[in-house]
Amino acid sequence: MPLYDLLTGPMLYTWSFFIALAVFFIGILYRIIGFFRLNIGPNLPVFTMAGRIKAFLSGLFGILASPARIFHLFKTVILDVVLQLPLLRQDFLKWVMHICIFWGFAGLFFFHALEGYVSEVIFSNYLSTLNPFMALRNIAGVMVMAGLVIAVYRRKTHFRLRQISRRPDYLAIALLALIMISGFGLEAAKIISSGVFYEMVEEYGSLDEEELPALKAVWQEEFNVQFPGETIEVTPELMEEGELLNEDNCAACHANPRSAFVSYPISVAMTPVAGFFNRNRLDALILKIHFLSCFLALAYLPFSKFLHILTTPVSLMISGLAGQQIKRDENRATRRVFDLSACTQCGTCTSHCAVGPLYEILDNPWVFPSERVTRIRESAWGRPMEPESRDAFSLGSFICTMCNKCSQICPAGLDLQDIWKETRERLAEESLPDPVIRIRDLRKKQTPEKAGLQTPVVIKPGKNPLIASLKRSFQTATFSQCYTCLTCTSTCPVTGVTGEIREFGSAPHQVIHALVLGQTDLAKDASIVWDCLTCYKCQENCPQGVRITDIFYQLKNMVYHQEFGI
Amino acid sequence: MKYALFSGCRTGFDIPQHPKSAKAVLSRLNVQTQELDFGCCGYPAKEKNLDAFLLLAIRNLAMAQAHNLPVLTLCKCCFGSLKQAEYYFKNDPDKQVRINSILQKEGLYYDGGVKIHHMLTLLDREIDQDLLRQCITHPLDGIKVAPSYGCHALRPSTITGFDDRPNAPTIFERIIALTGAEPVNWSRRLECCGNPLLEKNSSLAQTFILEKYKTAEQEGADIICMACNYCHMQFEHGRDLILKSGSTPPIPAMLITQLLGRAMGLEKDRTGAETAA
Repeated sequence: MPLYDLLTGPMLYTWSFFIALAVFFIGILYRIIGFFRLNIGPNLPVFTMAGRIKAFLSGLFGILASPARIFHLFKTVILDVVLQLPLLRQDFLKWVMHICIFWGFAGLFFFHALEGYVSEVIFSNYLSTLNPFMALRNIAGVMVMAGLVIAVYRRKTHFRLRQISRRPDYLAIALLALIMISGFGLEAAKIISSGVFYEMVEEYGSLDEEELPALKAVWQEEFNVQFPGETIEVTPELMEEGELLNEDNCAACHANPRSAFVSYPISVAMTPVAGFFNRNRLDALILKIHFLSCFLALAYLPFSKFLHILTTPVSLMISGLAGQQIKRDENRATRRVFDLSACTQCGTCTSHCAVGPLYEILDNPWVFPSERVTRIRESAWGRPMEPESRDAFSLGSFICTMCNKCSQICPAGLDLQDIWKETRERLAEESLPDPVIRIRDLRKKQTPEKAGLQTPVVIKPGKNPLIASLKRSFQTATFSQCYTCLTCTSTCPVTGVTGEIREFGSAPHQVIHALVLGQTDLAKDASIVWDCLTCYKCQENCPQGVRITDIFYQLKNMVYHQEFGI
Repeated sequence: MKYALFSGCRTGFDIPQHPKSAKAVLSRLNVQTQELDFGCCGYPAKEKNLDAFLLLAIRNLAMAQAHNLPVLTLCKCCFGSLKQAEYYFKNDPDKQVRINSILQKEGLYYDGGVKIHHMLTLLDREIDQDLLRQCITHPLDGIKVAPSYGCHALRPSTITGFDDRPNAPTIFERIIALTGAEPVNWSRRLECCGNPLLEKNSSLAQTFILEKYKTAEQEGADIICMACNYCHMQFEHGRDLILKSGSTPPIPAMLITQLLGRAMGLEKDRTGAETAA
C-alpha cells in the first residue's frame, strides 16, 4: 500500500521535511509581504507597498553606510540579543528562563539539527556519538527543559501572567517539550536497542562471529544495551575480551553512553520494557516523533509566537538604533506591523501597566497592553474584531494613559506608544472614540427631548433609586443641604464663559436643585456636568458643604455604568 | 530624607523634562528619590468609575507603604488624586475592604498613613529654607514670573491641605521669590488651565488657556510657571494654537523645577528642554 509506505518507509523523513520547509518559506514570504502591505492606524494616508519598501531600503542603506551605526548595531546584537541584558535587569528568573531556552535551543539547532553544515565543518573530529558533543547535547537539552519548566511555573504562579496566558502560549511550550522529550527518549531508546547495536557492528565493526558475544557482554553490562530473549553468560574472561574488542572497534567513534547523563538514566529506567521496545524497534518510532515534531515546529513558526525567533532580534536592533524616533512615516508604518509580530506575549508590559490593575474592576481584558497587541495583530492580518467586543476594546484602548512605560520596558524593544496612538486614531475614525466623547455626544442628542424645557417638571412620588444611591455615599449625600444660594454658579468658570444660565443645565446650582427635586434624568443630562472642568471652585466655596464637583463625578459614573456597564 | 518619586504618566513620553529637572534640583538639595513601579494616579479613571479611581490611587500608596517611603508628586492632578483617594479610603470601610482584597492579589496592602507631598509643599515645608537660599547661585533678578496654581492640588482644600488659604494662597509665590524672581500678582493664577476639557470640549478648553496667556502678558509677566503635568501640556497646546494662528509667540511657560534649575545654575542638559522662548 503506497500510503502505508509513505508513512512508514524511509521516504517519510524526506517528504515531511520538504513540506514543512515549503510551508515555512511560504509563511515567511506571506509575513514579509504583510509587513510592507498592512496598515495599523487610520485609513489615510496609506503609503504604497513600493514606497514603504523603498523607504525601508534607504533606511537600511543609511545604517550600512555609517560605521558608527554599524558599531552601535553590533553592540545591540551582543548586549540585547545574545546576552539579553534588558531582560536580566528586569527579572532574573525570567532571564534564566529565556537564556536557557534560547541558548539551549540555538545550540541544539545549529550543532545537532544542522550538524552536517555546522559541527562537521567547524570540528574536524565531530561525531555525534563522541564527547564532548554527546554530553553537550544533554546539557543543551537540560537547559531547554529547565527553561520550559520555569516558563510554565511563571505562567501558573504569577497572578497577572496567569490571567493573560492562552492556549498558543502553552502550545508553544508543549511543542518544544515534545521535541526535547522525544530527543532524550530517542537517545535512551538507542542506548538500549539491540537493533541499533547490530547495525553499528555491521557498519563499523570488523570482528568475527565468535567474537560478538564478548562485545555484547560488555555493551550489556557496561552500557545497558538490552538483548531480548538472549542470556549472555558473563564471565570475567569474556568481559576482558569484550573490553579489548570495544577498544579496537568502537571506542574511537563512540564514547561511553553514560556521558549522555540524562538519556542514560532514562535508558536504565526503560530496562524493564526493553524487550518490547527492541522487538518492535520502537526506537524508530521515537525517531519519527522527534523529527516530525521538529518539522511541525518549523512549519508552525511563521504562524505562531515562534516567529519572534526571527522578528524579535530585528525589533531589538531597530529599537537599539532608533529608539522611538523613526523619522520617515513610511518606516514607522512598517515598524508598527513588524513590531506586532515581534511580540512574544511575555506579559512584561501588562505586569507593569499603569492601568492594568483596572482589569480587576472593569473585567475588560483590553486594558492589558499585551492583549491589545494580540488583538490588533489579529485584526491587521485579517480577523476583524467581533462586533460585541468593539466597545470594550475601545474602552480599554482609551483608558490607557499613554505613559510610555510599556515601550520603555518591552524586552523585545517594541514601540508600543506609536501603535496605541495610531490605533486610537483608527478607532476615532471608526466612530468608536474615547467613551467620554461618545457619552457627551449621547447627552447632547437627548437634550431636546428633555422634560422641563417646554413642559413643567413633574415631581414623581415614590423613591428614586438613583437618589437613594447618591444618599448612600457620604460625599454625594451632601446635595440635600443645598439652599440654592447660587455661590457655586457665580464661582463657576464654565458658566462664566458660556454665560447663559436661563437655559437649564448650564449652571451647577440647577443640577443640585434638580437632585433635590428628585429629577435625576435632568441632572445627568445637564451640560454643565459634561462641561465641568473639575476645578472644584464650586465645592470649595459652597457655604453648605455640598460636594458639587464630586456629585458631578458620581453622575458621570452613573451614566458610564448605564451606557457601558462599568 | 528619601521620597518615592511619583512623576505621573504624562512624564513618560510627553514631559520627560519634569522628572529630569526635579531630580537635578532635588539632588542639589540633598533630597534622595527612589522610583517605584508606580501606576496611574487614578485621575483619568475618576469620571468613569470611582472604584477604578480608588484602586489605581491606593495601589500607589500601598507600594509606598511597602517601601516605607513618603510619596513626592510632581503633578497637581496626581497630588489631588492621591489625597482624595486617601480621604475616600479612610472614610469608607466598604471601599477599604474591596480595594485591599484586590491589592492582596499582587501582595499589596494599604492601611493609611503614607505622607503625600507635592514638589511645592516639599520645597516650602520640608526643606530647610536657608539651604534652599544657598543653592540659588544664579538669582533670576528682574524676571517677573506668573504662577499658575493648578486646581487639583489647591481644592478641595480641606482634603488636599495644599495651602492654608485656598482663596488667597501664597505658597507658589514664596518659592518663586526664593529664586530671586518677582512673582506677578496675576488675576488668573487660580483659574483652571482648561486641560480637563481638552478632548471633550476643545473650544471651551482653548478659551481658558488663551485667556491665561493673554492676561499674564497684560499683567506684566515674563514667564508663566506651573508645577503640574496637565497644566504644562495645556500651556504647550495653547502655545501651538497661538503660533498656528500667526500671532506673536506667547511668553514662555515653564515648570517650577526648570525655573529652580536655572536659579541654581544647573546645566540645560540636566533640566531638559524648556519651552522655546
